[in-house]
Amino acid sequence: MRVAAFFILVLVVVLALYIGPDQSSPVLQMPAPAAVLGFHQQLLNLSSSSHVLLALDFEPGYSAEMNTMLQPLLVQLQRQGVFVTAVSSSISGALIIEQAQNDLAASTGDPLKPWRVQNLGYLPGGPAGLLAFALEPARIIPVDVIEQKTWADAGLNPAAGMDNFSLVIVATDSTRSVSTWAEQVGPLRRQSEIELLMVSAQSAGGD
Amino acid sequence: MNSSSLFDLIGLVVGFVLTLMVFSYVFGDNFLFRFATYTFIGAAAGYATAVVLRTLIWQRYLIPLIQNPGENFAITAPGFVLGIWLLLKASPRLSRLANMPMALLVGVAAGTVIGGALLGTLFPQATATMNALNISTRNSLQLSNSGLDLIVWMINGLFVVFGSVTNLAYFQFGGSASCQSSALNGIILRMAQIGKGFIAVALGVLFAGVFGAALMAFVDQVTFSWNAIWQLIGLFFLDINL
Repeated sequence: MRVAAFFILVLVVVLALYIGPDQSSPVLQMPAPAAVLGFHQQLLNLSSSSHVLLALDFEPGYSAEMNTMLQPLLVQLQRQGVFVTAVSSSISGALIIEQAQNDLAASTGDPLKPWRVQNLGYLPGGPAGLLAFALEPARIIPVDVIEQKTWADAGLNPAAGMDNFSLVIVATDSTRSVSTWAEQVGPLRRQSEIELLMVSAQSAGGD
Repeated sequence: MNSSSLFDLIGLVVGFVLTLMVFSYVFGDNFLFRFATYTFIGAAAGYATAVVLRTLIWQRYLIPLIQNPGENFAITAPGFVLGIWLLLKASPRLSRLANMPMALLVGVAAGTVIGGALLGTLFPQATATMNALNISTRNSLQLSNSGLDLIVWMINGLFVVFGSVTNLAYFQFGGSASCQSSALNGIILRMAQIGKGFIAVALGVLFAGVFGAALMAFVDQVTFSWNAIWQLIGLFFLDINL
């Protein structure tokens, strides 16, 4: 039974790859949910002088699932020339961010508009580490993963902390990660103008 | 073939072979599957160790200490001492001595999580539930006020409030068997039953998400294997460069 199920699944995937997408079938037209429209509007409000903190909180094994939502977002950020500071609470974070950069370069093939990104890599410490980062990001991770670019080099003010960012975007497949960001970074919004947006494998929206 | 293409080819072949080894589990637990999983675990543990050594021990502790010992000693030394103290947990004889740093670690983590849960989840969710049927909140979102939209918004709000109340009834006010004759208790028990239904739906959605994620990973790996087969055929039989 298990073997049969496996081969049926493989056959379905291989057939789909062999046949390719059916261009003639009608595209299902559905209005986007309000949260997705709000998310898109927040992105459109960014300019080339804006800075965004992007948290890629997922394991490499889930990159196929996450990339479906993540790549259009990265393309949009690249198009608008937004500077992205990327971080991850996954220990493979530096690689995930680098892979996202490579996937973006492969999908757009536009060498004239490189992704302006600072890869901060792994943020350790779980919820406590995240809270410390939210309070004093430049002190917790002072340089990027290859120890070359400091916050000042990236055009950020180390003393301004999270106020440097117009948006904080969290891309994750885990509800635990979503709630940790909402719990540790969300309350800071009372003190500053940080907007916290979430991208999950299923959808995108504000918290 | 240049060195970059050679590394691409090696990566492709290794990835393809490891994928097939993992897929061999479909025929039951076997040596190939165990070899692949042990390789992944070993590689992941090695990578994690390297990352921790480089980004934490080296970047956060040693570099600041070497560059400016006078200023950074007071900040880095306690963490360093507590970290080394915690290593005593590895020894069965001395593990009790490491209870102090462990207590500090657990205490800080619990304080952070509880504080965050109150300010970041409980209060905002309670406020959002209370505002689910608040027309002024809807107006502030500048949503359309057409008849159908308003009805949908109201049904949605009622659903949120009803779901929250019945869930709370299930967790907090289940009622005791000894006072089941009370009319109020009967109502709460019925609400708790409905709350159980909401929880079952929520868990079902979570399970569907987990299943969907696994299926997506499977599709990704089959796609990778399919592309790898064609690339290898092209390279070795049709003489097409990578």
